[in-house]
Amino acid sequence: MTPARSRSTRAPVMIRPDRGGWWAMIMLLGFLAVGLAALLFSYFHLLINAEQWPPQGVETPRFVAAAWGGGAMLAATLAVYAGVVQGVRGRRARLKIGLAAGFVLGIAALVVSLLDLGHVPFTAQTNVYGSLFFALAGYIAVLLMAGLVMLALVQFWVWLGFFGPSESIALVNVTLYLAFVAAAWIPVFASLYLAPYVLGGA
Amino acid sequence: MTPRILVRGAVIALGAAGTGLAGCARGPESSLAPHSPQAEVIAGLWWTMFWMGSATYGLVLLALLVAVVRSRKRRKPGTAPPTFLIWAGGVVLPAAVVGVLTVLSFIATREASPAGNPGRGALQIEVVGHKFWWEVRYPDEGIVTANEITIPAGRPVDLVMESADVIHSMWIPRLHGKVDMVPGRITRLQLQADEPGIYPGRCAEYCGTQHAGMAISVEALEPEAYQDWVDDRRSAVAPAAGVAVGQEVFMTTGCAECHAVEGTAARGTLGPDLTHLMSRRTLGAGRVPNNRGFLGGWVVDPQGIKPGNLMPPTALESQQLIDLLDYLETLE
Amino acid sequence: MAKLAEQTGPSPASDEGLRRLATAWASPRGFAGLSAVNHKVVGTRFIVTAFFFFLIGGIQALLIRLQLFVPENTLVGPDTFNELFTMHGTTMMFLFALPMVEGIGMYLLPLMVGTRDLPFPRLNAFGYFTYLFGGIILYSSFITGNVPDGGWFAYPPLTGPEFRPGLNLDYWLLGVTFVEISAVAGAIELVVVILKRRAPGMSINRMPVFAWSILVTGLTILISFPPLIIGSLMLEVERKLAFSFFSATGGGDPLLWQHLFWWFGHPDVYILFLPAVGLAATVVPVMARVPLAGYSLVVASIVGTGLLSFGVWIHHMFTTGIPLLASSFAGAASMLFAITSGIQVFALIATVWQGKVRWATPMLYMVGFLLIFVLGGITGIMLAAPAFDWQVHDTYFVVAHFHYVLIGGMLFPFLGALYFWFPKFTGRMLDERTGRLGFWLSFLGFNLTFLPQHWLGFEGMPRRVYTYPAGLGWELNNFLSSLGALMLATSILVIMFGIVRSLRTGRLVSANPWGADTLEWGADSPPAAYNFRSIPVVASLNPLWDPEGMDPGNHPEYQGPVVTDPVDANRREVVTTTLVDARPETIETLPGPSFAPLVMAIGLTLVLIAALYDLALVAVVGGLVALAAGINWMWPPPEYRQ
Repeated sequence: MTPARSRSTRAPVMIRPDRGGWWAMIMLLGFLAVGLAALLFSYFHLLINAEQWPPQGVETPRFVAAAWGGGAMLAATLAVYAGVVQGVRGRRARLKIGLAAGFVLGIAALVVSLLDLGHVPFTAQTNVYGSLFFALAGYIAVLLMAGLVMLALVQFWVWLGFFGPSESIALVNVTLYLAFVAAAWIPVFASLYLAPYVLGGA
Repeated sequence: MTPRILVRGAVIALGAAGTGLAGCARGPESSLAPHSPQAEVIAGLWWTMFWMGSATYGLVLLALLVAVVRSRKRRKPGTAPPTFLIWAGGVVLPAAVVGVLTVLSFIATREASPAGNPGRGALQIEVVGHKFWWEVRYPDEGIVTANEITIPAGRPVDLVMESADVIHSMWIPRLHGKVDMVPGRITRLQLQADEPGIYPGRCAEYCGTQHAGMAISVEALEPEAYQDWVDDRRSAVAPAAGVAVGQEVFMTTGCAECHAVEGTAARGTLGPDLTHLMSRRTLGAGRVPNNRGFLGGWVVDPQGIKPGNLMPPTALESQQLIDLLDYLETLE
Repeated sequence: MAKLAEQTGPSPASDEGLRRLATAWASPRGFAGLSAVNHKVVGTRFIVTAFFFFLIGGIQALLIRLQLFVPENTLVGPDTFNELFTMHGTTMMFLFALPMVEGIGMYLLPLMVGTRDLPFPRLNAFGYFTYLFGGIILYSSFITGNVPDGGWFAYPPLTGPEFRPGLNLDYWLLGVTFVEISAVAGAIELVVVILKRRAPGMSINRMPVFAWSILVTGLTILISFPPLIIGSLMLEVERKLAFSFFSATGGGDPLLWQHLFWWFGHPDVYILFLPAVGLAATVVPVMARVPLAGYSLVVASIVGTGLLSFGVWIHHMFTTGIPLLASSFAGAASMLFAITSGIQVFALIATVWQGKVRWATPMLYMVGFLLIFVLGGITGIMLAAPAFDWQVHDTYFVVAHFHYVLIGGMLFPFLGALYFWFPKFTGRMLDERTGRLGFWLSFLGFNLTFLPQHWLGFEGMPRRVYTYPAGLGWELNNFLSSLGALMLATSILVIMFGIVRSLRTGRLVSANPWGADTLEWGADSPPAAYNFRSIPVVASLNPLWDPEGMDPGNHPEYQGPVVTDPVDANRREVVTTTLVDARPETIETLPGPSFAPLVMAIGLTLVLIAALYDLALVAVVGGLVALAAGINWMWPPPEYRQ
């Protein structure tokens, strides 16, 4: 066998998703996850140093609205995932439906989260608790916004006819990214909304 | 090229190390001239580590030298690489060295820390770091001063430290290692001078423009002399006689807004307390000697003497300055 | 060996194939060169720019040493001095060392692992522009009079809104963060090229040790940069928007910054050191004409260094009053580096032991590296003893220590690498006479500069002081140190003279002048835009040395054919291989030159300037420009259309 010497070797070429791109997304998500870890580290570092959490005079935010926002985010991820699974099998219509549903749910999640941030009984300037709250919630919101921009673009290109079954890396990556944002939301939610009930208190 | 490179390099490195360490007389701020139990422990740790480190470095150099000498001869190709050398020099040697060192370090660190010296009748002194000077308070004795800490020799002293602005670090090399003064936190440093003397030190954490000009000194006195010092500071300050004009200048030209003098209306807290100004050895936290000439210069042009310090210049007529200095010189 | 080098490609491509390769991979010239994405073009830009910043940082260091030549010197005032040491540290760490590491990696790795380009060429070009613009923004502070002066460590509250109003620290925080984007982009590139673009047959046990070191470095960057970026953004919103994280008055804690900073800062030292180990472990075997001794041990120690580097940041905080137990653990963990570094050092010694050394300039620098780095490593182990650190922390002892580690452990191997790979980069040998002279001047100058600083630390001289009084016993050692700095600076001039001269008159070389073993020496000197005529197939750790090293017939895992000629002159095709065994997996097409990365970097720079000066409109414009460039950049190629 002298495979490398043959010229006409296009036949076994496997045009599969760009594995390089997949790894790049994994690296990026790892990077973002460590960024989240740095923020959570800050949160708990200051929580442990504080005498009371949240500090005196700050009301713990209620978590119902935030939970709805997070739920919408999870649903958006699932919708995109379902669409992409169909898309890589060549079912374009289902792909489009999945992406569109995911986009609408994602927008809903963003709107609910932003409205919720507008209603918490403190501001980022109130004290260190407020600052951390907005930093963590803001981190998730910015990641979500970036995800929605990606989703919008990918969707646009899908409507133009790009990203068929053999070039689906963009679809896979956007799904991965949204799943990461939804997953990242869970520790943030637990820290901001639930931890004060468990750890804070007088 | 030959092993000469290595020999030359080794000669340069070790020769300089030897002369540098052995030849130099120790200066007044040398951590290798310990005058306290803690500094003694740390200097001892250093010398142990120095010899261990030198031996290790020597072995590495030796291995390299032998390798270079060997490598001048051509050998049969294909001889197996000396993996034992990597294991011996790269794993066993450092593991043995750091194994011993971890234990020594742990012991020394414990001995030099407050945990190793539970304060028996320790004297408490509060020190507050400011840009770029030190506020010193004796809570039990009711004494406030600046930039100089007076302690009794042979008795442990607990410095309870905080910062009024940015991070500073208290360091008296002959007495102990440094401990930072962190805003919002209280840190502690235990000092104990073996014998009477003056132990200078300085701020070790970069704190802004005049970080370099933020010196401090600890004066250790015999216990009786220390008691005299305390009594002297505690006795009521005699109203200044014949310097009422100068005092008036002090009160009206802005000095009193930042400085306090006990027994007067001057209650400022931004600058050092001046009640015992003339008993200090220096001005500007160690910047210049404390005498009438420098004092006058300091009042008129503090930025010229210590650029970037927070004291503004005071515009005075020459007679006003003379009166003011007359007054200040009574603050002993 | 030279004979083997000729056979890099298992089958030389046909003339027609070569012509197509050249067309497909050509980089635009002239103004359009700004759209170039080739890894050698971008890597060279990184290296040259980083060297330029090295000179600037060096001039700052020289000014620092001149100011400290004698007591009470008035060459520069306190504020200027504080700006100088801040910018010296910042420049050397963020604008020189790391971009240099990544530039060398970007240039060498695709060649070394046998592919044609980095996996995301446009991201690479983008990374260069963010680096360049970030550096320019940082240095524009000299023009606008806002030079950062908080130290390269930027501890709040000194750098917070209360004690440092003005834009000085905003320049620092935003500029450095911008530069870090490039570091992270580069890290992703380098990790992915190592994981997925190795030549068929280059299974992980045949990966050059430099690739291992860059792999660990890249992953370390990805785990250590987020805390600094997040911390910088936190401090920036504290400054601009009155958040509170680090200021005690708002309930924050100044130590939080120190944790975040050293979570980044300590691994950062290894980010600079590990690639240097990789370079030394590549150069020394070639100069000793034997394979590296203890390859697996060295690889294990490199991986171990990367892992350990995250467990020890507390040792930068021994004096902050943290609990003794935490100090003791961090100290004990820090001492473990003696073993990882010991393996690396003794592997090199064992290689020399085994070989027959050729004492050319690269080898001199590598021996200089060993002599200096080991000393810096030993003082580092000492610093891991908390009690000892209490005395010498923030003194010139520490300054001496980390210059031994960074100059000895990074700059010297890099200079050695420069002399080693210069013929590959340019096709000409670097002048040996100036090389030797430069080495001796730098070696002696370095030791004269930094050895006396150890004693200064013991004698009580703190870091970052703009002047010092006479009479404390600091005069002689400061004098010697400053003298040494002048000598070190002279050595750099000599080296530069040698480079400039050799670029024009250096001896022309063939593909493999050193008789080296790694794949890049199989490519032309300088390499063609497409690197290799055909993608090599690797069957050995030292492919150019082993007679069978390049023969696919000897490659048991090898299963499928590999494309050697491009089918289409417009397509930049590379082979993707599997993670562990490097079995060929797929052919991918890389994007070609584009102005989108440049435009996107310009857009983001506008956003940065807007953030500095609170210009909302500029921010919007910049954001839209960046978004438009991003869309253009990512637009899928037409053949992806159904």
